[in-house]
Amino acid sequence: MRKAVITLILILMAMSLTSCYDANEFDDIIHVVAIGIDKGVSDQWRLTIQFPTMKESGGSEQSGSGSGKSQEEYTCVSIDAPSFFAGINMLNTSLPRKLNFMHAQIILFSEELAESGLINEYIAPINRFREIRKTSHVFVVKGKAYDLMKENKPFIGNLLFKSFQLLIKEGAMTGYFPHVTLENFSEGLKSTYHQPIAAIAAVNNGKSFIENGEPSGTEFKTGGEYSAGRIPRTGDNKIEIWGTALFVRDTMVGELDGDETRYLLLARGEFERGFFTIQDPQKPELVISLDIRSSREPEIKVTCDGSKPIIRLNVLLDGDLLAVQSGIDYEKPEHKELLEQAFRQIVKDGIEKLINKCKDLNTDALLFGDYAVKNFLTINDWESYDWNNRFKEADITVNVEFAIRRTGTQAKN
Amino acid sequence: MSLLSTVLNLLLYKEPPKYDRFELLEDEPEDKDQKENEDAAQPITEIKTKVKSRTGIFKRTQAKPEQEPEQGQNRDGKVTKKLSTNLEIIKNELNFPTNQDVVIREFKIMQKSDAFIVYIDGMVDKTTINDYILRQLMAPNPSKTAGSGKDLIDCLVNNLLSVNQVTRQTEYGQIIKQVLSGLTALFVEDAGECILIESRGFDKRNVSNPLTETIIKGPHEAFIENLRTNITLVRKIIRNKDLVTELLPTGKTDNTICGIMYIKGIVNPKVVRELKRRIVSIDVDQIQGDGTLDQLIEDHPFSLFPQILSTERPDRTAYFLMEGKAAIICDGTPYASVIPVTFFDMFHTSEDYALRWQYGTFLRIVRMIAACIALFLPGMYVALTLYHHEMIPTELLVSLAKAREHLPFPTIIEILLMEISFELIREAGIRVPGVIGQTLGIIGAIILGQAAVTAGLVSPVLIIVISITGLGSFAIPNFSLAFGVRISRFIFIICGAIAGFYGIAAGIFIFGGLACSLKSFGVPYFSPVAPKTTSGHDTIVRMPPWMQKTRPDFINTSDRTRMGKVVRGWVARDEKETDNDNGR
Repeated sequence: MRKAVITLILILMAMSLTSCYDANEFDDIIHVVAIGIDKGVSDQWRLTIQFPTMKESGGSEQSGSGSGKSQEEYTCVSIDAPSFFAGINMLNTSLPRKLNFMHAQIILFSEELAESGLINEYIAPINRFREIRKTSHVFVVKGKAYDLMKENKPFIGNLLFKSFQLLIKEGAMTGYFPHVTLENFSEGLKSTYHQPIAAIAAVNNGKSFIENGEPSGTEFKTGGEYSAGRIPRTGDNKIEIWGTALFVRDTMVGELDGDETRYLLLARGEFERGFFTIQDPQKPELVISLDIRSSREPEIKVTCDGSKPIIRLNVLLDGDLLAVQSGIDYEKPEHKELLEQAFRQIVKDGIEKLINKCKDLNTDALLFGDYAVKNFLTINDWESYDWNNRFKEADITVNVEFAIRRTGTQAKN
Repeated sequence: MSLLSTVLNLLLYKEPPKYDRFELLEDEPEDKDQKENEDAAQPITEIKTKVKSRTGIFKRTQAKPEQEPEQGQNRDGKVTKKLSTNLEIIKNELNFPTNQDVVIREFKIMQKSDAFIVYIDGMVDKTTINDYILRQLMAPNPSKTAGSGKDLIDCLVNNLLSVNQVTRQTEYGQIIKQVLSGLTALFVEDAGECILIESRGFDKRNVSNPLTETIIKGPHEAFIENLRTNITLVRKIIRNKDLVTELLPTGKTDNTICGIMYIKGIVNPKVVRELKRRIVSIDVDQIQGDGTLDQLIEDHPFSLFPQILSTERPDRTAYFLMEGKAAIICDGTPYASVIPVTFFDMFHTSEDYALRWQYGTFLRIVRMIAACIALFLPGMYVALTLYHHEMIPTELLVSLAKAREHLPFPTIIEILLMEISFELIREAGIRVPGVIGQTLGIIGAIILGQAAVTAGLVSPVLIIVISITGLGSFAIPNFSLAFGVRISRFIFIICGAIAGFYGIAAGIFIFGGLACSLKSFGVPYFSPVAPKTTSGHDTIVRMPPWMQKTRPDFINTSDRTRMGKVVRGWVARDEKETDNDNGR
């Protein structure tokens, strides 16, 4: 009996040592969805966080009354603070629940912050913070992160998480913006192989969409040459992700538009699929749409023997014919060859133009360094070679292989 | 100081006390084995006499020992030559005439010799007594010159009693027991012994469908409360001369008989000897069916895991016997207990063998998953909601959090509340009289769950968790194991609430350690997984029947193989190829 009592006491003591102190109910915690970081006015940081308000959504529950307008499901708060963690604590004095960043999916930096070369200072605490996932997505915001987050609302359905996840997934299907996680980005900041990139997010206020005016001329546009925030569209969803921010170390040096981003992804081997629109090689006033997939990883060979690195890039693409406005029989082998040739030239020109831009900005966003490093036996050799500064001297040859696999069938009249 | 020493005593490592525990080890050489075989088959009477001399039936059953009529005459418990003495003793022993069940009929054999019969009313078949005992004995029979005493007994047994089973007995202990079990005892003047005449004829239930082990494909017969019928049901399946049934007396007051069945030549004789040793050593007044007996002979009474498998199906019992196990069937219970068993036997049903092996294996895997769900799901849910929010998909997390928004209780209270009410519904459902009980219970569960959600007491997700857990525990085929799982579930809920996944992992570790140290009649509980032995392709995955060539290694059967070298003679290939053939 005595033994049993003592065992019980010991177990209770052991339990009280653990005492469930880590335990949190769902409703004790605010799960932050998005983090926005600007330069502050009153203090160094302007931290904006977005989180669900946990109010019942209009449709899903049996509220009965059928209130036409659902309440705001997400809300934002901002604070100017000396540091990220001070900001969290200061916010918690007004928020009745504990902030938790485990489910934060997007981290937004303002363009101003990125261009002033302060990203490293601002990302270091976030990187070290255990709660933030390394798989959350990093974006550079045109304008202020604070403004964008005010517009960040679930557009379809009522879950912000879902909207963003699907939007990012869709990026892989269009190739208009890269998929960059916190891990990729911070790795790029430190890397001696390449420079970091980030996708650009922007608020489109609909000003580019001119409702009434002169009809467009016959001038050909690919659809990808807009920059972020300027796409001529209108509608409820104000946010768009479009293009790429180029960095040299922690300073943002340039911006790529949609088309350039596609070529960048093609060279990086991250392009999956996308619809391309090109001019009909036989009737330039009409267009042809192609469904392009990368058939294999691009072949990249880098030699660093001579005074400057020599790079050969071979991009391998497959395509399907989607639409031919002119009605020319591109199914026929001789015409097909013509079309393939034209598209090869377009892609080759695009990639070369992109490479020149990167050379001008002195940033190896194309991951050539990852291949160049294979020529070096020791890290010291590689570091003394100083790839990031040698890249601009590189002699780069681009080759594109492309074949139309499926022309589609059409009943002949 | 004494507190300190007690604490130290608890914490410090001490050598476990050494005591003799039965272990089923690899067999010794063949000749010794043979000897043990004979040992096992030793006549049951020897053991019986041993029991009697140890405990003494008279001491226990006799209300007033000082009322013994003629001192010295029945001290040794033998039938005397004098009929009136015998009558007195019988009347005394059976509390006649207070006990009105006892019938004593005095008469004259062939109108000459005095005699009486004694039987228990209701236990006997009256036709037998009227037509084949009394009519035969009382008829004048001039052709037979009957003497008296022994000669008369010989004459009666040989010529007159046309009843199938007649034995002579001089021990009062045995006589009383047999009379109580429905036989008729005939005492004759001047004989010094008694004739026990088989006349059992009490009411019993017919053989019907199994209630707890229903299956779709396979035989639909279940044991009933009658020992003889049960043994016959098994014997009907195994028609083999080596199927041995030994009857052992167990309850010291209610004289329950229990039968041990095994197949000589397949079973390991050590197991039978150990089983008999345990049953014989039991000294209790009453054995209420084999549930009580199981608890008296199992190795680890304090473990949550059942170490004896109980089945109500004769076909399953027969399968186990053929596998080299032994079965215990108690009189008065429609179940057979099988020993030794392993953890994995608890997940088998007789349907597995009736179905094709792919389907049987699938069913077993489903049951394993069900057991895991029943054991861990509520604990995991608590751990996830309290400690591991990062593991929940964000969408689910938000909807869970929204659902929790207006709930007053912490998750642990919620889940305990629902678990307990679920157990309540289940128990009440069984106790409600009538067939609708079960249906009512389940409907009650749904309505209660729904109402609890609408009333804002528990979250809807929790109801799903509880229902799936309930389903999982219903899918475990073994009733005892399902109980163990139901109780262990609460332990895992507490583990999860205290320390999250770490707590559950620690719980699994402790449970695993405890389970691995168990032995069921010398066989490690988790064999053939731990310790690793060959199992004859019948653990979780059941291979095609022709590949199950050997009996499980861990039972150490006398005969290891259960098939010939070429099982399927029509397949024109040699044995090696047959082994590699995985069925098509």
